Amino acid sequence: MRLTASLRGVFAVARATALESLQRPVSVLLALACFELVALQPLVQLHAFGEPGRLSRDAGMASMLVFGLVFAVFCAGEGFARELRDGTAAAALAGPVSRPAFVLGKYLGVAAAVAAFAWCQAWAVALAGRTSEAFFETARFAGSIRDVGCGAASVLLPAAALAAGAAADVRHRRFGLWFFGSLAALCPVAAAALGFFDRNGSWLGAAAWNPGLDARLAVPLALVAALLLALAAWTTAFATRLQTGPVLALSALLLALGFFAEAARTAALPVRAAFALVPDVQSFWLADALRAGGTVPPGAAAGAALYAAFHVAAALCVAAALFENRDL
Amino acid sequence: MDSETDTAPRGGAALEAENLHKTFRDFWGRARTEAVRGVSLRAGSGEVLGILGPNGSGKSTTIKMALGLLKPTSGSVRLFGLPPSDARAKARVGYLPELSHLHPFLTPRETLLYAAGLFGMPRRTAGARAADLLKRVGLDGAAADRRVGEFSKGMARRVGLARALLNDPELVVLDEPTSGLDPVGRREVKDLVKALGGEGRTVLLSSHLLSEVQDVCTRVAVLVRGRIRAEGALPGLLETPGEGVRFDVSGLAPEKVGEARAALFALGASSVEESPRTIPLEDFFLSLLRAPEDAAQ
Repeated sequence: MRLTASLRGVFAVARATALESLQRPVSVLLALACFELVALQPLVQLHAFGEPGRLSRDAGMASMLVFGLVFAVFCAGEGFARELRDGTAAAALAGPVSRPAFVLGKYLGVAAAVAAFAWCQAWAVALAGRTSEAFFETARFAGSIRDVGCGAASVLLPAAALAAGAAADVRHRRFGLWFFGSLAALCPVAAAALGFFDRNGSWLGAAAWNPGLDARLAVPLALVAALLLALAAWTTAFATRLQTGPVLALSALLLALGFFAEAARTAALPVRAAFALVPDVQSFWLADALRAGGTVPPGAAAGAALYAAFHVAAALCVAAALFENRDL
Repeated sequence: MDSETDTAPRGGAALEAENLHKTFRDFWGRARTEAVRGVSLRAGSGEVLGILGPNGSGKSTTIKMALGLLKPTSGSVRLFGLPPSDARAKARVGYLPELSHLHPFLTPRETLLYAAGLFGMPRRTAGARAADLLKRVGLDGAAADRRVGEFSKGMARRVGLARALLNDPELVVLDEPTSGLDPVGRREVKDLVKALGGEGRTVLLSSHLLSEVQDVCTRVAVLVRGRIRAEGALPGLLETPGEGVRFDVSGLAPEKVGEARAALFALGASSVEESPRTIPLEDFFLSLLRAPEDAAQ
């Protein structure tokens, strides 16, 4: 009974946090900009780097990482800081919610928002892969072709989500929530619908249905999302004690150090020990494994997932400890 | 509410604070402000205790320490005999902060459902309770589904009040409850506080509005610069022994007023003041608001 009540408290905080994160105008803008960048890029790309879809794939995942980091850090940092600044954290903690439960709820809410963001952008990367130039050969013609129909559909998806958000706003519903909900639902629907057409836009029929997406992308995209979740956890820890500005700066520093973490493995012991607390970005960036038809080794994927889970757990423990005696 | 609250100690004082001190420090740990200096308070069951004091006197800091939101520099606090961090104690407390502190993106109904989640209330119970309280504070109907961020300060205050009562608390802590409210809202809050006291709940009311405290509190503590300057039941505190007696007379015919005055002088009174009976401005204002339009004109 007590556990159920505690879980209800965690869930209430998580739900409110997710709601707040998704309906911020900046969240919608980041998701919109990232999706359009990824979707438009294959329509204007000039090189294939010797492998159809590679540039779209790499650029798409890099965009998802950069925009996602800004999204995750902002949601976690500003969300927590606002609760402290506006006193809503104090009002919540005057009730029977423990401080660790509050921190956990805040993180889970941000994690849900980050998951929604990553889900939408992952579809953008997959659709961009289909749109990219591919080698094409028939009895009469040989060369490369772009799936312009898929590209156009991808570019229009956020517009449809924006329209859904605007319609919701007119009815006094939440714009951001409807935007993200619509985009998350429309992406797989669009991918399924595109499966009935070939790259030229010709009808294939139900028997030959093929969405033409690269399923190998799922694991590296999931690992990029895992990195975003790990960084959001550390940002939550920073936000328990610092204002938004220092939190964003510290999170950016952590990310920058994360790029050097792999190189630090061969450094002296004190440096290695210090870098153990920094999430190694290279552990989550496995896009190169897809080169020339390759796949991500299951062991590497599982290791990176566990590594992310360790960072999330460690960051939440630090957050709970830092928040326990904080004056509200 | 839940079984966890049932195991909490019952009876005794709702709030006991002993020799509380609070010093705020800067980033380097240097003492910046000594907000509370040796405050001791006790709020018994069913008591309406007012904490009076000017801005910056330490009222909100004392309340926050009582609720476990601020850690005292020294001293101790017990809520229902438990530390204020104990969930069983906090489950029996309702709190209205000084500035309401509401999520601007939630509607009043969602605000109450969110708070109900924090209290671990089942969704169905919470929905019924929220509807009931929104009606009680006059925010049922369309207002219940507008976002709190669009509300005036007074309307937000009503949402805050509803939230403070959501868990049917035994101790209600109200920090400047009438701040931002119009005279009608102020009267409603005062009536509500009286009703809460009448129901046997303990109310801790912080305010710098003296008339507000005088109207509803059974006991007051006056805080000045972090210290309690006076504390006790209101009649005892306000009594001025040796400075005369005040009669409040009704039913005396106007032509007899002179005789009454002469009699008082004959009995040794050195001065007698008389003035027509008046009603408080608040009552007069409310009577105008409540009167039909044509009658008021």
